[in-house]
Amino acid sequence: MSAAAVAFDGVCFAYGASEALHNVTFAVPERSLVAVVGPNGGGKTTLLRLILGLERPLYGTVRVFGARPEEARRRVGYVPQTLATDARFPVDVSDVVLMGTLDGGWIGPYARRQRLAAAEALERVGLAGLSRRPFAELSGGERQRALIAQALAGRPDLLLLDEPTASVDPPTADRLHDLFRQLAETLTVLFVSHNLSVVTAHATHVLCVNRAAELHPISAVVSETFRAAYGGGRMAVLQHGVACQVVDASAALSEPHRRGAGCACGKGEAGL
Amino acid sequence: MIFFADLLEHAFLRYAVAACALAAVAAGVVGTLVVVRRTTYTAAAVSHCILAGLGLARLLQRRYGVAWFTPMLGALLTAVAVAVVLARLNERHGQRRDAVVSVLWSVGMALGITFLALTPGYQEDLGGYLFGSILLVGGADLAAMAAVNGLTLVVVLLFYSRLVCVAFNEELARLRGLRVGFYELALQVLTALTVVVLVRVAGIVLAVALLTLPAATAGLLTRRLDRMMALATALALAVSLGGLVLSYGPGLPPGATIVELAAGVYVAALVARRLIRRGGGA
Repeated sequence: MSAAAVAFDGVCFAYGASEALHNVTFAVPERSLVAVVGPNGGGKTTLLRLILGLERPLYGTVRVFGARPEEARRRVGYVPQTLATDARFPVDVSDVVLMGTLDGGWIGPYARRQRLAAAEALERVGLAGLSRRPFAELSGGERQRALIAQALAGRPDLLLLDEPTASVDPPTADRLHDLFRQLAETLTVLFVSHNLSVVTAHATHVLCVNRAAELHPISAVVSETFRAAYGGGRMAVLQHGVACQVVDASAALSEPHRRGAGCACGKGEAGL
Repeated sequence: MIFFADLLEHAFLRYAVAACALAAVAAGVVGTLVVVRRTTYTAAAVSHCILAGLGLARLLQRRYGVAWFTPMLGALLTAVAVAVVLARLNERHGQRRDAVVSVLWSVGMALGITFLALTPGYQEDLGGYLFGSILLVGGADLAAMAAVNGLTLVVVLLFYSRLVCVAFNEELARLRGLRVGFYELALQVLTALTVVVLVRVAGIVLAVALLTLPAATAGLLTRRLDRMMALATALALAVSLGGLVLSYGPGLPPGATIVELAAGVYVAALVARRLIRRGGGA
């Protein structure tokens, strides 16, 4: 049995005095499709940054495929929620995707295998026809797909996506979620989502993050009857009791949020 | 025109033309990287700090007889030292970086002015250093400028894809396992060396204009980094030669004329682009 794709053990992390994650322990099995859910400011992005080794835990350990996050980085593809770059930076789509194939090598132009990987990734996200288009001229959805292609071009074993469908139109979002499901057949995918219908329809696991974090198989969160009743529609709140069952959304909306009991997501709005 | 007649006659004019050509390559290639990374402010700080190196060289030469410590050497050493400090700053400071850069900028100027004041003899150098003295470029200067160009081209050709990645998104570069600190230092040093070359043409105060205006103009006209570098080089060559020729007859300061021409071309490109877009949208 191989090591878990991602394993947190007693992880605490704080930005200065404000604790972002507290005593987080979970293990994501390989080739699972994990929806990361929770309220804004609950620590979802921090959790992804810990997996990438961009932040280090104050306490506890993070392991990615059994290794330290910094050592596993090249096996990880990452699509941030917002790109910390000049939107008018003069590169075209294929340049951006090729950057995802860079490794620790020092010099020289891109090799043939890197160009092939980039072309394949563009094909996979349906942007092959736009490879020479300036990155600055892409729509929000196209830009998101280009960045997903960039993450895929490095041929990752683990893909981290921070709200990948937040800025795309519904048909593109559906297409992307189908893509993530396909990808999860061969690699592990963690995606942050605020859309419960997407979570229930696609994910194999749900990782609830709200300062604490707990991982649940989707079967424990969404019963088949519930999926049948609500799976295709819109639901507002996902709330866990002690047994981590999804309760009726309408009832949950009329109840005050529970504090302190059960899993972390019960502490506040689940943000779904 | 009188310029072309004199060109055949006077070696200093041929040196000036060669200096323009060498400056254009550095300005085009490195200027593009500076503009897309939005680091023109740090380039301006390097430029002003160079006065310390120039002043120190003049002081050592004239007061202490250290003939080998030329102003060009002083400028290169100062620029590289400042580049190293700036690269370290990027790693450590973050938000307060602009304040430290401003301090470096003014302390460099202050040291330069003090060194020049301590230098015996007539203070004819200061104006040339501040506003350029392309007509006084010598063979040794040209050799140093050519060396800087060679180094720039080698570094950019070898590391192009990695430099672009670091400039595009530093976090991505780090996640892909690139030595971001090394590339950051390389970009800072190349910028500093380029600024030295441009200071020789346009002076401390005007060098950054020559570094940024052709690249910014090229940025209006193309959306690819490699083409932007090539176009910026061509534009830098055109405006520096054009400025030199235009200034020569009436006896205007060449550095200032070059910068004014570069600014004119930038505004023209901006207006042309707006008109084309409006036409396209109508």
